[in-house]
Amino acid sequence: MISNHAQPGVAEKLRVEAEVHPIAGAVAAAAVASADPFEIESMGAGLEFVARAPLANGLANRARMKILSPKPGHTLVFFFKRSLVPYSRDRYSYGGLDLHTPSAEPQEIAAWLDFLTSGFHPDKRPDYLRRAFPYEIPE
Amino acid sequence: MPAEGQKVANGRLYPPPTTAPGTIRDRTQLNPCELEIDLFCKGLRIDPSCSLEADARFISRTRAGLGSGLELVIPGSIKDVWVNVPVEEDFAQQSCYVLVRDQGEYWVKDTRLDHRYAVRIPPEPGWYTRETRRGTPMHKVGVLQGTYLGIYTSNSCGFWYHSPPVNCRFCATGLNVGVNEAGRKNIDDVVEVARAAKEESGATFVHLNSGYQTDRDLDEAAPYVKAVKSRVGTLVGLQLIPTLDLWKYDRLIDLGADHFSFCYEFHNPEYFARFLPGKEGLVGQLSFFRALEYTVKKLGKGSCSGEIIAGVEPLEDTLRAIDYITGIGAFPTVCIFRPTIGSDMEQWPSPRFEDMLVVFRHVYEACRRNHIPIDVTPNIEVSLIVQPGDTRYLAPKNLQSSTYHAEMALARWLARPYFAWKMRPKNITASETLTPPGPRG
Repeated sequence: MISNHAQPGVAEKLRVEAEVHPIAGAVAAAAVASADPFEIESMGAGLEFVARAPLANGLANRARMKILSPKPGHTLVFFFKRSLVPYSRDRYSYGGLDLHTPSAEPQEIAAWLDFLTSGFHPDKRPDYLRRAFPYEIPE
Repeated sequence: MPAEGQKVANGRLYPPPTTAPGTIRDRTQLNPCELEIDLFCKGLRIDPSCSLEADARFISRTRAGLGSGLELVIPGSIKDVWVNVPVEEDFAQQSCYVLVRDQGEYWVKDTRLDHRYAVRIPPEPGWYTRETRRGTPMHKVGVLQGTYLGIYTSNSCGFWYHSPPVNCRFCATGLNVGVNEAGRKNIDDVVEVARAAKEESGATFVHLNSGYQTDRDLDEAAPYVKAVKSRVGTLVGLQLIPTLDLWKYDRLIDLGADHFSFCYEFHNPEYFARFLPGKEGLVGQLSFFRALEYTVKKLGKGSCSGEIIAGVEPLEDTLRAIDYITGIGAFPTVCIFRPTIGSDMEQWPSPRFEDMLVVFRHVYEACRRNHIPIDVTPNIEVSLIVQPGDTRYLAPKNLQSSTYHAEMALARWLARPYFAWKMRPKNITASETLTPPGPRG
């Protein structure tokens, strides 16, 4: 489910990004259908998902995924956490995927969301995840 | 151990670490080095009373990931201690330490005992928010880690690009480049940032490091060394994967390199192989030892360092490493293991304070026994580690310690003109292209 769907700007952000990036639209549809809670960031480049299911250790889940196309023919799926320090501009990368196709298989998308829900547990890393992901990712 | 009186940089004397009103001071108060160690082990939470956006350097996980913490200075009577405190990792969220701001001053509060320790937050340098002439944000070229400038020169580490990856399991380098810092650094950018750090932040030391570059590591570093030495004039240190082409070290010394550090991480060969698959498979532990021994002989006692991680391999192996490093005349750079966010070892526990105290008391004793110069170079405070100089707070109060401290004070005084000369820009004629010695050596 997308728990903040009713917030101002979220529905519009989803609509715009899904039009531009078909993969982002497919991931949003999978998130809506999922039993796990996610939120969408209404600001920033690309479509950013935030996992909201709490972790087994009781800590808040900080896992995020941003889907964007820096140039035609490429869709980047970037996994990261934001800093805990309110003023920090830092992001903590857990790697990403550079997709050259306009679509992704449902089981791939499910794996991405599962990775997110786990708080980026190493055992849940998606296939083909590139941990060293040397792209400039806009905020 | 009784706490030493604390002092802030402006010379104002503080009483020993204070307790909050109405609480009992007792022997569990820590001296600045002990507090540094415990903060490395336990991390720190940040209270909403803090206004770090205005007061602190921004946090950036660059290089191997150790710099991901909050920079603090613990004032002390022997010296001020710089520490990069973990604040992002999960274990830090459960720490007994909380950073609070009270009447404009910062304190680290120990919630177990309601003690609080005065600390200082180093401000963000003005140049962090500027760009180089080429338009690169300066903080993406290099960052201050304590008082020195750290620059990761290369486009990440080759170990991360093997299939399967053979990266060091504690490391986050491959996760940073492109996200938190620029890729391969432009030499003019590096010079510009080094100059800003020297002129505006008083940095005396530029530390250049890189990941694995398929045995081209020293060749790739050479132009940066020459540029910084000739165009800026600071001390320059290199932390590179070692080579058995030892003549390359001679060439880098000709170009002005003042220091080499070798991160072999674990003394126990089994741990070396298990946690450092790239270093084990493509370099070998002996290469680190050979290069360290060679460069120490070339540059002199206390000039080079062996870098290890404490808190993963058995304690006795760490102590053996310290004995080996100091025994050959190098100084030990001991990192307290940090289960860095995003690394393969993120789920590992942070080390125990009691164990780390044993390690750093041993660091002090080993340095003293081997007469390793500590804190002799001007203004090099490394926040990522417990520096050998910080361990003076752990020294037993006896004649040997007093003699050693007097020797170091004298060395510091005598070395002043030498370092002043070393930190002038030099006319370097040696070629930045490293070529092997001729047939006559």
